[in-house]
Amino acid sequence: MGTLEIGTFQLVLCLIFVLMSGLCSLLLSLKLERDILVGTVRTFAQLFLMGYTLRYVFEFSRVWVVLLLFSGMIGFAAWTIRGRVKERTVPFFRPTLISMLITYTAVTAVVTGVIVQARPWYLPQYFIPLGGMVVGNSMTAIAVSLDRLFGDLRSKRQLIETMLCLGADYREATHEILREAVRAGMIPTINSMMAVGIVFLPGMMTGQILGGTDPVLAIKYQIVVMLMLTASTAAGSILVTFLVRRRCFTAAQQLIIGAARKEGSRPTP
Amino acid sequence: MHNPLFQFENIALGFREDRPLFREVNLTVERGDLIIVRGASGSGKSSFLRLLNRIQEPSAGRILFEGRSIEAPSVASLRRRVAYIHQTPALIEDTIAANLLLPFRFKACREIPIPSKDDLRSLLARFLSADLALDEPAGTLSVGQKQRLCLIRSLLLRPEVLLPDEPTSALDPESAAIVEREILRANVEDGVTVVMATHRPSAVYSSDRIRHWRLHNRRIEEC
Repeated sequence: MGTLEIGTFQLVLCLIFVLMSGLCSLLLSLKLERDILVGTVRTFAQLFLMGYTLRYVFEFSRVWVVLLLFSGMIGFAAWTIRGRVKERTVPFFRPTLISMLITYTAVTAVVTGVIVQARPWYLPQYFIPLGGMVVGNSMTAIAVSLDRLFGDLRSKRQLIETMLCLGADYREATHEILREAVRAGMIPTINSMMAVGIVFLPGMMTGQILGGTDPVLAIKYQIVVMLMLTASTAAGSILVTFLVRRRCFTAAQQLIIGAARKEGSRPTP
Repeated sequence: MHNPLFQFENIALGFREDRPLFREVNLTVERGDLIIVRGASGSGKSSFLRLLNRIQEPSAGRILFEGRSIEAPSVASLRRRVAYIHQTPALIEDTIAANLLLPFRFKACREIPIPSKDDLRSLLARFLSADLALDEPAGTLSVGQKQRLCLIRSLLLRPEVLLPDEPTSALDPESAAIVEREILRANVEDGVTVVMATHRPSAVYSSDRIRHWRLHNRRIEEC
């Protein structure tokens, strides 16, 4: 059985859900009407843009085009993290982007090339949707890890300084904090592994079943995706927190976050 | 040629160019000195002490340590030799023993002999109470006891310089007397150089050999 077509009328009909949430916002004075409107417009625009882009990429199927699109997705995710994490003393966009590019490309390439055995490994029908799931899920993990890292560095500033004063280097003084930050980022993914298939049916599996794929095959893909996400969240969170933690200290092992700063002082490059 | 332990050359510190905490500081610290840095709250005494172990950097000027730039030794080794003790005690959530032995985990402190449990017990009895056990959680101690624990922890590293920052400001008279006595003992008996910030110097530090510096009108001067 093929997938049932969704026409323009049905898409417009879906706006009724948006109107419902907008109405709730008005009635309860949530002041979310503008965000709901912007979110709806962006959902339409971004998904249509991605749909047409994918159609082109699938037809063209060149490695550089696939990797360029994937890098764009990662760049957008890193930018989203930058907006979500409130810390502004330490520049973390570049290390976040670099970590995401390295870990997500490696994990997705292993999954498509070795596990799924797509030929070539960058076959966009596999690489882009699988990579997209890696980016989407691990983006949240990295944002959580960074938030935790910065929050703990700020709240435990005096303890860190005490350790530095006792001869610790920045790694020794923040060993526990780094570990907790990585844990915080990984826990939601591990929790979703516990609940998958019972509490919720993941989007990819649902999509495949709606597309007419045998549910057992859809489940196999979903298992691959879940396991792939644990690797990408772990690798992404670890690499980002390691790189960003270094930037939270000067070359003379002084904690930048929460410090009264003299003009012109800069973190370690 | 004689080199002072610390030499300040036109030191200034400020987070805004036009409003420095202090400027044009030209002073020296000799080995074995006990110096009391006085000044009103918020005048910059803590920031001044923090310059001596590079937990903070001056905005202008140069600090020499044993005749060489303070940046010459590695930061970790400088901080092990020059021990700054925070005004508010900071401890890890663990036992008293784990807190006392915390620095011995660090690479920079590996060559210092690790004190035995008997050593730690006798230190506890001298500074805190003979009734305290090493495996008690440090979190249950009072502020005064925590402050004394921090002082023992720093002294275990056998520092050459001690920088206590308002060490008795939040302490009861009994705790304050013990801390003052031990700082003085470390200076007189062990030859540890002490530069201490306080806004209310105790009568214990009234001997002629004790130097007094005053932070006033953005200057630090000997008085």
